[in-house]
Amino acid sequence: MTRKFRLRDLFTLMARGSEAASTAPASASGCGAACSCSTPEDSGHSVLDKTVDRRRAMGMLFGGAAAAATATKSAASVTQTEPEKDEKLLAWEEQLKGNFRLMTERERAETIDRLEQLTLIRHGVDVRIRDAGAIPGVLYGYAFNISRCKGYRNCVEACIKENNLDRKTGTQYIRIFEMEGGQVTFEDGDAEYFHQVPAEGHFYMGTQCFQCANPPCVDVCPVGATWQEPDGITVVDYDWCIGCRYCEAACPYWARRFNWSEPEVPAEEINPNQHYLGNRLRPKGAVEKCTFCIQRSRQGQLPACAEACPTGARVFGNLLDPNSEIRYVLEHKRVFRLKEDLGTEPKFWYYMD
Amino acid sequence: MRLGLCLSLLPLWCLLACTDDPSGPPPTPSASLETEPERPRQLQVLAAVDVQGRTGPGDRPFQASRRTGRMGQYPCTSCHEQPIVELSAAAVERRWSHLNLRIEHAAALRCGTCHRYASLDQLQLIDGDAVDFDHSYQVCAQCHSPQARDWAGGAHGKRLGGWRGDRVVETCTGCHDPHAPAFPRRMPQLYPQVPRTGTDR
Repeated sequence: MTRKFRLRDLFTLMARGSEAASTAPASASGCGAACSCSTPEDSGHSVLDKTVDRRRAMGMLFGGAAAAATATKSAASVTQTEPEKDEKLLAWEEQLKGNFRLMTERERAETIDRLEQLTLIRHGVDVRIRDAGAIPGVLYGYAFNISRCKGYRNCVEACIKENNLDRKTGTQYIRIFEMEGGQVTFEDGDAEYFHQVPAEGHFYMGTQCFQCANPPCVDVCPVGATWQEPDGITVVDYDWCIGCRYCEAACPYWARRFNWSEPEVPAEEINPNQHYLGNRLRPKGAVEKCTFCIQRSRQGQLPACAEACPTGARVFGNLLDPNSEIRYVLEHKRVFRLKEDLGTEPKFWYYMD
Repeated sequence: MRLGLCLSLLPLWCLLACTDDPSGPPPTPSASLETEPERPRQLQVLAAVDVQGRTGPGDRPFQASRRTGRMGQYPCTSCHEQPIVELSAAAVERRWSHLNLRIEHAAALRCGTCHRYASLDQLQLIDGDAVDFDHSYQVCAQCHSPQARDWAGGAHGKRLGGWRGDRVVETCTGCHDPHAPAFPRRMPQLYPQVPRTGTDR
């Protein structure tokens, strides 16, 4: 699947390129003589005969050049400090990492270490990024009691704090619809209400990512940057996402959010308990979504919205455990799902008393 | 005689324990995964009691949060040394103490319906049985039986701590004010940011 490159071939290509270029201006000569990998003859033959994937080859070829460039630049400029140099190198190495699913254990540990260092340098916050996998025998499910929700939006507030959502544009994963009593037509629901709640004759319906068992957002991703985990949570590799927003368009529930600019979270409000596929600080141009608080749920905790709910309208648990609360709801209450006819099989049920 | 029986069964037990049973318990998840739930801070400070007379899904016992630790003026007998007498509704309206109480429960209820005048550190059921404040759900369940059933099952109420491990739920009065159980009207916590508008939601 992955194309392999032989380093020797790459050097030959580069050498040809530099010969052609050196006929016109003398200064432009490939990656430059200051580079540690200037000519194939200098390096060992065994290294050159190694086949590597494209990304690693690029890293090996240009990584040294970038390091040298940074060093020269910093030597010339007195304003550039040690952390700034570190940040550039770390950010460069981050550019060359692979898809999270294809990483080895070591590569995962390395990128997490880099991301933690970068957060410390850029925001001055010491965070802990986990990469905990799915717990075997667990499939997460969610139930929402529409007769209990009063529209207080405590869940939205908790979600923003827990998931380090962008404060500048006010990203929110959860939308609460105020609905006319007696009907469930979302077209008539009002998600922008701002008055005393609960309003007379209305009920409230919360929407967020439903973690569909048949997720259309995953199908349309052209680069495999989003996928469904074994515990049913659809996650995004923010660093692999190219920002095409196909997934945002494909989601029938409008559950995905796009970062048009670098998300801004005040340093004192950054949640240091993070997950690589969850609430770590997102880069600009990446799509993000609700992950049932993967950093919490995989530690046995409830998602922040369920924990914050003052009325107990939110039930979360393991669908595969017959003695769980979610299973009780599914077996004893009248439940329905949103846009069920689409066949997306959401793992998020609405129920009433 | 019992000792003799135990000794005679010992070799049999050894035999059973040593045979590798393929249908034994499933392998535990690898220790490298951080799957062990940390005991939530919420539960470390909030003690819970075993719920009496009700079981959760799968007939499993569960726990409810304690009430007594969160009541500002408990124990009641620190002021009310003597048993008190029933107050009329008008007297409750004109009361000079417990002014923080907003009483908006069913009109038929009087203080003595739930509070035990003879020993004020306890509640009582309609049939006169005394109930500890920590088991106040038994008092609520007399009228609100569908809610109590759903509370035991998990469709009503709120789970504390995490979704794994021992089930600890909020007791009735953890969310509802027993004197005015309906949730109050108030402003939403924050302003909504709706990503798209229009009719095609």
